[in-house]
Amino acid sequence: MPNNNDFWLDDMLDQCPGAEVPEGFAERLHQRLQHDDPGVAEVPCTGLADMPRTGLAPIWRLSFGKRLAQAGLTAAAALLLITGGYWLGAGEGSGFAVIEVDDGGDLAVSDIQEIFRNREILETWELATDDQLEFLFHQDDPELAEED
Amino acid sequence: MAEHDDRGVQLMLAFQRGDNAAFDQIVEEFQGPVFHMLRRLLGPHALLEDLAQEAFVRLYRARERYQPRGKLTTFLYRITYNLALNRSRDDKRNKLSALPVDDQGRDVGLQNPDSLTPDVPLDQGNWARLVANALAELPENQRSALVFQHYDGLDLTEIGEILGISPKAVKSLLHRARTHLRDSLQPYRDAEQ
Repeated sequence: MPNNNDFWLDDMLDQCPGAEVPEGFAERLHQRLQHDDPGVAEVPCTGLADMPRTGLAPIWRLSFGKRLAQAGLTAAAALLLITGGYWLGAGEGSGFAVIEVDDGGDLAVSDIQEIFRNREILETWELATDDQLEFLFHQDDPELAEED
Repeated sequence: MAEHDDRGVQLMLAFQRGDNAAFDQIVEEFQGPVFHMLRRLLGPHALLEDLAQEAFVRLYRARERYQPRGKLTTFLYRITYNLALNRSRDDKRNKLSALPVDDQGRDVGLQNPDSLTPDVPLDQGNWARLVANALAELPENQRSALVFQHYDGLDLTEIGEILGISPKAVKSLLHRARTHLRDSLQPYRDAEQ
């Protein structure tokens, strides 16, 4: 119960309970640590320097020979990529179909002359009306000529 | 150095040197305060044990980079506080997971502060519930500062390190927290007299 002194609020706060630690908490925590990282709990880790080296180790941790080999491998991979890229791209030629076009000259002049000739023929045809054309057709067909 | 006199720091340094039994000792000594803190920051919660486990797992993983600056409790409480803060924010985003439960994880339903009125005589259990409700109604940072000061006995500097604010700001938070609590609890106190 709160007291009548100036610290009644603190006395009230003392009424608020915390939480009991569940039984077996430490064991479950230990199991989780082992599950998350097997072996860590048993074998003390003394730092990064004692970790086994892997192929992905930083370059400053590799010997000179390994650095040289790594540089050679990198250069070979780059060369392979460039060669393959050239073969697949520019070396293979253009991917677009090439259309051969005459460069003008005599052929072009003769073509233009032919076009004009054809135009003249077409203009003469346009002069003929539909009736005239029909009459000509009827003349060719004896049955139609009798009807007329 | 002063911090090396701290029992927690000594244990953590021993653990850092490879003494795994020292970590077990840390868990043994600090599991209670961690559970109490989580309970007072979050109220009844289904995930208290998960959060407490996570706090110690993070302490375990911090072995290599741990540096003895101040007490171990400040370091451990900061981890725990951040976990509680994240959980509280997650709960606000997802109201379903924030349903209160008792210490055995059973759903106790939403507590209604109106069910306790100054004219109803309060027994010991009701006082506890009343104070817990009043604490829960405080803003997050005020509640945290008050919990660290009153229940964990931390000073302004230590609380500031955990909350990431200056000691002066902590003092201001504590003043506001006590004012709010006084306003909430005064009617019940007066009714008791």
